[in-house]
Amino acid sequence: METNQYMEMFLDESREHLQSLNDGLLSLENDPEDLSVLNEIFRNAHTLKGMSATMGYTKTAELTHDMENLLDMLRKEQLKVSSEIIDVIFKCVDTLQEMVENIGSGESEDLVDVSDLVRQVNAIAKGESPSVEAPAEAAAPAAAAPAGGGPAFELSETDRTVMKEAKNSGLVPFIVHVEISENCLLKSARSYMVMNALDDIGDVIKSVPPAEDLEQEKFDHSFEVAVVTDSDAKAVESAVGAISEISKVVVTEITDLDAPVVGGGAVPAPAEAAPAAPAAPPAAKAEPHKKDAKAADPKKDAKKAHVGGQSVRVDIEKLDTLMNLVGELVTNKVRLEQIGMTHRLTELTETLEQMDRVTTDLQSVVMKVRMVPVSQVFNRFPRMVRDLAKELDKDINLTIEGEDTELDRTVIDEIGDPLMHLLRNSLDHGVEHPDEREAKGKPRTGEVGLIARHEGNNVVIMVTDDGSGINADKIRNKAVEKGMVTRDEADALPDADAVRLIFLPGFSTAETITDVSGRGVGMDVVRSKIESLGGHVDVETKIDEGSVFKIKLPLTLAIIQAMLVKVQNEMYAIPLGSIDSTINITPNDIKTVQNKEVIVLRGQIIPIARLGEVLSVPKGEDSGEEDIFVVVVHVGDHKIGIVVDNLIGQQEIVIKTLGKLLSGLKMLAGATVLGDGHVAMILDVSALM
Amino acid sequence: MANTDEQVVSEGEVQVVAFKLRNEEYGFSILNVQEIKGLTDITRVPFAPEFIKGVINLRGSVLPVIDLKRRLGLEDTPYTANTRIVIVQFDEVSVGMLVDAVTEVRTIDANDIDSTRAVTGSDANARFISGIGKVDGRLIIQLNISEIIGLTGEE
Repeated sequence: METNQYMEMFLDESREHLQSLNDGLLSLENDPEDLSVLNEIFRNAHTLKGMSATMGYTKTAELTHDMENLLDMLRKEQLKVSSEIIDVIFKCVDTLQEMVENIGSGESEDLVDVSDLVRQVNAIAKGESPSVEAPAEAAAPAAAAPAGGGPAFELSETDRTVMKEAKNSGLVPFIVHVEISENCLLKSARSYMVMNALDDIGDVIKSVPPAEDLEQEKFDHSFEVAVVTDSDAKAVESAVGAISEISKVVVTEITDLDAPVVGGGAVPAPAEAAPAAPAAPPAAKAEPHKKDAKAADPKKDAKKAHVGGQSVRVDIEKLDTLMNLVGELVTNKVRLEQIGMTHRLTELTETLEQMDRVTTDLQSVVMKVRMVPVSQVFNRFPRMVRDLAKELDKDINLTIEGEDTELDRTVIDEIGDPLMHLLRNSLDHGVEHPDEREAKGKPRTGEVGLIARHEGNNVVIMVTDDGSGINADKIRNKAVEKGMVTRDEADALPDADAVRLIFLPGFSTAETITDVSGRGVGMDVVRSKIESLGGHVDVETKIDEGSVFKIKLPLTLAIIQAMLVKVQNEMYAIPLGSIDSTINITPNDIKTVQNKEVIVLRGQIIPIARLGEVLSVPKGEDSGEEDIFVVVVHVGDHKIGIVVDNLIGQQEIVIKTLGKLLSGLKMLAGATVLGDGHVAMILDVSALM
Repeated sequence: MANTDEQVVSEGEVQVVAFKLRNEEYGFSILNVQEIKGLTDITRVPFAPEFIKGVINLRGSVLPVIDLKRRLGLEDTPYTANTRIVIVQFDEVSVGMLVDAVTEVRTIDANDIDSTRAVTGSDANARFISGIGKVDGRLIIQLNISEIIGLTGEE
């Protein structure tokens, strides 16, 4: 019961560890020799096991344990990293993820069936082929664990030194392979007795699995012990064999103490077999492992940098509250300033100036706290790209840049899906099959990039590929076919604009609908999502050179620069990002085209909308002002002039939602609290078009 | 629903915040009332449902305000010095309710709350009312907050 309070932490940390496992496995796949990565993976798995066991999730703990065993064998080089093993571990990670998510949603971890996976993992650990359909490739892992069954026995430098010394003083080193009968109930007790018996006649150097695991019954039915003793093999065998429920004892003398690995079981330690094994990874699958190479490397660096700082987990809601409070503070400060002005209290105004600085700092700090690096979303992509590339049978190298770029938490949460969609598109439709690429004179491996960087007050995220590019004529035909534009309109469009037609609703260019992309949702969903975040998406493409999808996002959703305008007595905020210019005209400047009011601005005809009428603002008395203020805004390439009564000025505003009750109102993007405590609506300019 | 049913069904007593709309007295279960606020500036929200008066700034958050008289189909009256905004909370949604005056916090014996059917019959507004409490010869009409907020989506 009391573990409940740790639930959040458990879930968060589990997810983190699973993510690191994913990352680690990817870089391991790239560079199977990298022991430090393997150690990192092992540590992650180990922590995960410990956490889930503490929380009482035995199934999760068990699966992690089996996975950990496998990793341990890899780490100790008793097994050679192969693509099959990595696949199985990936499967474990996926399954664990599913289990953790089930736990998170309050369901049982048992919903996921792990028995099959556990069997596979154990099979590999025993040196069998992980999958039945690939017997040829299984040769390598099998070779590491010789035929007698049981894992190969690796001796560390120290172990060997101890044994050598023992040998010099007349003792004999043995490997004792013990099998406990299948129906034994208290395996741990039997193993304990075996250890005791061996201790009586000699010194136990080491056991596989380690003694703690034996005590906790974390072994199948056999284990191996290295002992040095002055007795002979027969004596050892009978000492152990005397214990009941022991079905088999094989005692092997270690003859070559210099071999790094000695085989267990009945086969007398073939010294040449063990070192030979690592040299024979399954050749067929070895080549494509270099994908994701670059993707993995910066990750490693980030990890290192991350270790330094300490951090605290905070609920985002608390940050929102903090933000609100800071907003309140600012509002009250403005009030105090007004009081100071009306009563001419110089002392007060001076103090308030100080306070102003502090509140400004406070505000920016709170804003910064909400910022998280984009790596939080980017993290999941190397894995996705790997899986997808396998599925599509393409060679893809994913490059990630600028993953330290920070964005507001709320934006981060939202951009995952659009980015995933763009990446899938690039992989599926962009990058060609290796053969096709070769025919075009390109390298077989396709390059896909995911790049984030700052651009002024925006963050730009680009998804690039060096694939086939988008054929503008194809897009034109398709758009005409679907009745989105007429043939004449389509032909009149320059190529760059024609390609942008893919962002129109209902457009999907995939000739065949595949599992990967082209599920009919398409780019219009990406665009509407990005635009709902106050961003903008564009595409540039060149036939056979590739495409670049560019997403421009505001740094934060919470605070934006806006122009405050007044209509009668109502105040509205227009996001500065969509404002082109503000102009001052007279009623004579307004012309009509087919009964619609327009103005001519620098030779361009721009339709206008009178905000008061559009928002049906209650009519006050006519001010009789000759001047008309027009705010020219744009969405994409479209422009419209918004006629207002007055321009108040530019201001930084904090965006608040209108809440459930008022959600989905057209033309409104939210509300904000102004310095004087009044609420002003924020216009959604795109709805005016 | 659970919150509002409680005031009708539960045995013993119910505490309500009683307030006036024109000449009639209404009540919300005190469990739903977060606070009572004097009248502040209400910003009109274009395109909002007719019964929503606008939004206010409640310590930095933006809160919608329902014009309760309009919601219940009562005639409008001008603001007075007694006009109040009762902030209620339901299902994690906070909403202000514009009322003519808050009268008192009253404990009503559950036995003194009548079901509504006898009085309102098939009146379209019957869904807004969850019961009628009788206290000292006064009638306090219990309101069904979830229906009034209208998140059920029938609007």
